[in-house]
Amino acid sequence: MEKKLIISCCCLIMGLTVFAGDGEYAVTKIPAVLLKNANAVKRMEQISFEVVNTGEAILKKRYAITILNENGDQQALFMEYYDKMFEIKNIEGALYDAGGKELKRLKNKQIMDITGSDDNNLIDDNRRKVHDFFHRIYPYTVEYEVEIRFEGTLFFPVWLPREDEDFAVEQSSISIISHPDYTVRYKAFNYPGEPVVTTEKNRKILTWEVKELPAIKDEYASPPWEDINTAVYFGPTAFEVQKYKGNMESWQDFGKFVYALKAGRDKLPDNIKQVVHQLADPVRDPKEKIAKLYEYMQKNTRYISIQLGIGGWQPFDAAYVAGKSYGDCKALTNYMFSLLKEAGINSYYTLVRAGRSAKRIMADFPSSQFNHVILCVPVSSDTVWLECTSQTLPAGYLGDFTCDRHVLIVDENGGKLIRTPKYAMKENLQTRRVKAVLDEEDNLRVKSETVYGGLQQDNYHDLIHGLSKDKVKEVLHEQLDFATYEVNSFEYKETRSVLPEVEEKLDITVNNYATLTGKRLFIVPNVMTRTYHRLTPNEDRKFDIELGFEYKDVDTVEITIPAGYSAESVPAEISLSTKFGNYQSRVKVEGNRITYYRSIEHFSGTYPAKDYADLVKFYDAMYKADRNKLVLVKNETAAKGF
Amino acid sequence: MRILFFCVLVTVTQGVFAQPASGFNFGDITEADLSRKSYSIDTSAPAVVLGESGSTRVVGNSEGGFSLEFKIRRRIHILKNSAYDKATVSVDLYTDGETDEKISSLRAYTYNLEGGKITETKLNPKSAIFTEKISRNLLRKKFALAGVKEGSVIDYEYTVTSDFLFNLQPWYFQGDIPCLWSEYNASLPQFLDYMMLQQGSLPYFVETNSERQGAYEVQYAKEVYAGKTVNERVELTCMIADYRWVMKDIPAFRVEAFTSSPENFVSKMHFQLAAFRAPLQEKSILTTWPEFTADMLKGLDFINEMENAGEWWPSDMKTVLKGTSTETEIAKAIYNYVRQHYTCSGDNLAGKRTSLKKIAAAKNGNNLELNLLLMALLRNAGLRADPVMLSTKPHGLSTESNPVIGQLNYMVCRVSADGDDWFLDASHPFMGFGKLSPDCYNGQARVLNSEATLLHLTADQLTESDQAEVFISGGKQAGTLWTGHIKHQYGYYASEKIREQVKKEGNQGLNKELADVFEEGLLTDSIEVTGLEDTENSVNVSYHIRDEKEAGDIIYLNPVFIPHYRQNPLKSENRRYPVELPYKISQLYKLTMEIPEGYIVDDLPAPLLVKLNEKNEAAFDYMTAVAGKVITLTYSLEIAKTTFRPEEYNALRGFFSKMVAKLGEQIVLKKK
Repeated sequence: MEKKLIISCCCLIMGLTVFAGDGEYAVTKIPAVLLKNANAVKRMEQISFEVVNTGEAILKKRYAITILNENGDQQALFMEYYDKMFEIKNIEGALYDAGGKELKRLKNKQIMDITGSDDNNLIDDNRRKVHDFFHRIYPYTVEYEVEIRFEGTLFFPVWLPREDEDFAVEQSSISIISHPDYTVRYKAFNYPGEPVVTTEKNRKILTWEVKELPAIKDEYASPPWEDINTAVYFGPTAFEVQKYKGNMESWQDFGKFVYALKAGRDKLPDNIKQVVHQLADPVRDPKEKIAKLYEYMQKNTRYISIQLGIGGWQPFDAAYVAGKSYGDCKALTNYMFSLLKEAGINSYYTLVRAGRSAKRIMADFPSSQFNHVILCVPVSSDTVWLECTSQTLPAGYLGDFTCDRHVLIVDENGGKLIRTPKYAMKENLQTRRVKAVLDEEDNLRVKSETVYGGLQQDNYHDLIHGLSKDKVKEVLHEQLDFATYEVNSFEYKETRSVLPEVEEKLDITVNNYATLTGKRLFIVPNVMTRTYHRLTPNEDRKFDIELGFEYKDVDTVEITIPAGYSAESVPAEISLSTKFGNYQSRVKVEGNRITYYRSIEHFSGTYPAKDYADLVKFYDAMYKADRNKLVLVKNETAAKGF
Repeated sequence: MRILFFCVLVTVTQGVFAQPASGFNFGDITEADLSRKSYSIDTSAPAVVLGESGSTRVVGNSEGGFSLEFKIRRRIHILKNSAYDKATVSVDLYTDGETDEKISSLRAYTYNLEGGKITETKLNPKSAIFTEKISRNLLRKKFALAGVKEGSVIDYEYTVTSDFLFNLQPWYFQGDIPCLWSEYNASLPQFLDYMMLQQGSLPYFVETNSERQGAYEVQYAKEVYAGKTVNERVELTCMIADYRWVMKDIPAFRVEAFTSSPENFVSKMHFQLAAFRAPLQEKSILTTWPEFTADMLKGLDFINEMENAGEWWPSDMKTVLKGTSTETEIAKAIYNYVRQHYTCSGDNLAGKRTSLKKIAAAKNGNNLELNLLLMALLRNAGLRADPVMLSTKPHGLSTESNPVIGQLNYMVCRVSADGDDWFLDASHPFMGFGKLSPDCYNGQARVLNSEATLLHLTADQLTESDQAEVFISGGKQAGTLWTGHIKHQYGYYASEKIREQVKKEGNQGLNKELADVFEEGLLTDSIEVTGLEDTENSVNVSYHIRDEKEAGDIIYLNPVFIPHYRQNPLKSENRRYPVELPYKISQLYKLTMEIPEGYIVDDLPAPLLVKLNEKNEAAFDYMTAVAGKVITLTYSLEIAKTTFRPEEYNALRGFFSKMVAKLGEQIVLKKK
């Protein structure tokens, strides 16, 4: 459910025609240090971005990449997005062999022009220009040059010389050109020093350059790419986009621009106003009013993405949504804002960068960093958050699509950066009780009751709202970790609140759950909750470890087995206490009853690279403990009885 | 596309396009309709098609030809918000760049029950229909119905007019939601002959056809004298056949695992233009297989190029044939040269072919181009080599009776060498001589020769054989319970994956995979992979394994170290369509274990023989034995056919269940 506000901030560049002379890109000219671990080497890159005036900017980019082996082929693909706000003026390209001899030039008709939108959209104007030489004799070099005209200055390019892992950079530079009176703002990551500033008749040029960046390997749970690489982000001061003017020097200023785009779009038709009063007026509690109106909005609208030109920024007005019963995130949020306003409740249109693992917002660098809109409703000292594109979420709950991050709330006074709630370990709690009976035929009848809380309920929420009961059954039949099993019955109950819970009851029969040999019975007492994650050891870990999602699982299991067995080997109690989290499991056998307890607390946080080996060990230990078997032996005498 | 003809014309009778009365009544929507919360056909369906009706008729156009007019009406009850996507409708239109198919007469309504009253929301077709260009030949029109909520009934209709007579709209009776009534009508004049291809196992509720007299009017601009035209009208009467197909209470189509292509099972009707008949100029469109192959060969047009090999002969070919003498050696050398030195850029059969000269220079081409180059090289070396066309599994089955446009989507090569025929596909870099991807084993294949020789490539012709041998002995050092050595010969297609993986990640990837295999965290080392280069045969992987534990009074050991089946691959309780495996399966596993000093066997898994049926179409044979200080355990799995009917499903699932349980059993050793 990726919902996009703005789609096209990643367009890049160029424009020339003079390509490399023979031999310039010979592979022999690459310094040896750059070949190590590299699948591809960026030989050169020149980017220039010229702010002609606040209504127009020109991006020119020329670059050459040598592909060393087939794993580097993806770097040879040329792709640029465009839409009504970006015009690709010119694309040139050439292909060179290992010696740097030119083999081929790109012909315009070979450039594919394909749609850039996904199926969720009703319509948008995203398109892509794509080209590939499909050359596969290694090494080879591709060179491209592109020029893009930006209509407006809301978006600036990002300079990220080393775009990927296993990718080295011989040279890359970017120049930002503007009138001396115009300030371009920037934020640099891992760039030593300051840009070189030059001035030539009415043009101020700021230039950044790097040389000889060797290839690096990305690592599990490493920090965001820009934290471990050179990157410079740029932003405007005064800007313009399709006749709308704004300023980006502060979040407040940017908020004013966003507000201006939506100002006056909150007029509701009379019949809807009536509905609002019918629903809200009899209710005293403001939170209840909000919930009632939110439910009304959910029941009477659906999400459809429509993004055309400034429509990528400007919401359709409230009357449009009232008439069609659909809209995109901007339109639906603005509609909800309008409903609340009619009920006398103030709320804030709120920009967010959505996504489970979205990059964090650079809070100290006001710029266009968002792709989605939600609604923030202050209620005395509290805040109710509303995701208006969902027909199913309870009022106030955000889920991992938008929780725990900076967002920009907007009103007539401008914008302000605040944070959405974080769901912590005590909220992301899963408790499970399992009662199981093993019969003489080695079938285990399992009855489980599980309560999923916080972010742990997100998947189950989607499952029960997104799929029919039959489909849910199919999913359960595919996904449980048993060799052969039948789902006899299942039931889901949802507690809808600011911190929602899903309660699950399963009744399952597992065939041959235990392993029976002549006289022994092997059984894994941990029936349903297992870790699957094991990490590859890396003695040479370079980057910090960032673990995001924190949670707690608690399991209690009771298994009744056929009479006449006694324990031969009982897994020892395990208690792991690490900086990443705690794990406990213990099992007990009394007569024909096995009881098992397991709990895991997984923390979030940032840890130094040297801790990686401990993390590997922790995951391995849990993996192993979760699969420990209990061994029981048949009592020789028991069978004799009378 | 205009029809180039004309013959005769006749008097004017007014054509009566009597549509057969629909069995489903698109009448007024009632309160009772809207208050229904579910339907007995599928009580948990998020939406149900209450009725849908499509009809195609032929109409005369104003450009001296005929067009197809396709009308569709559909009424859907939306019950849950998860089916809101049904209220956004996409219509795909064909375009040849000059002429587009056109959509018209769009009407769309949403009905809701609000406060006991029925409300109606109309879509404004002017502002609500969007166009997206998907590809050179495809435009997509989209519209979204307004006012949709849970409980809404939506009702829409539109007409698509097409000048492309080959593109008679197919009809899918079955979709991803259940449908109470689905019908398709086609009224086809005798002068247009269509072949009808129907598919799926659901029965028709109504299936009729009848003939009647009808008339068509065609207009065209006739040049009277230079630059001056007048509109001419021509009428012709002829017999028209009215077809009607109806299905009732159609369940939602469910895609199941182990299905080569879902397209083979969904209930649908589609059409292939076969011929123009009198009074049009007679012309056969539907061809015979020999005509098809002749057309294909003409279209490929590579004979000339092949004969002038000097113009494109690859410069690096010189040494390739060195040291070869037999035909088979020559064929292998050439095949390996193309496979290793050229890259496949895709499977596209459509579009213009690049010349052999360019392919030889660029060292890349699509599937068809690389195999044509291969054939040209083989023929120039004096061997008989022919193109073979087939439909790959994901593309669906192909019709044998006559060629159907678009059905055969893939080309491979057949070469004769020393009296044997071999299939080659140069577009798979890791495929050995004489091997094709299992996706090619999809029934019919046609040799592009004058007889259009029919071949059958079926999954039953392939066997994936896997063998593993394991030796375990007691740990020699303190802290090591036991050590082992595993020699594993992978199946051919599993080997292909390993070759790819090792090429991409080196041995590291394989290492990690093996480590992941062992649930109890056993340690592996000294991994050796052999046979990577010998693509005609399987890859062998050997490695050491050890369990680092202190020896106790009892040793438990799971003796099956190659976990082909930890879980039953057949998850679902029931099955609607056949289970289709990509190949037959033959597995052999043998464990030899020295009993460590001071221990005796206390528990040993019992032998087991499981057979699927009397015909032994699947058999699992598991044996254990102790002789002196040595335990042996062997098992074999033979699955001797690749297609299992739904009626065989339960037995097959039970077969796997028993086998998986057995493979989890342990050996127990006890201190003396």
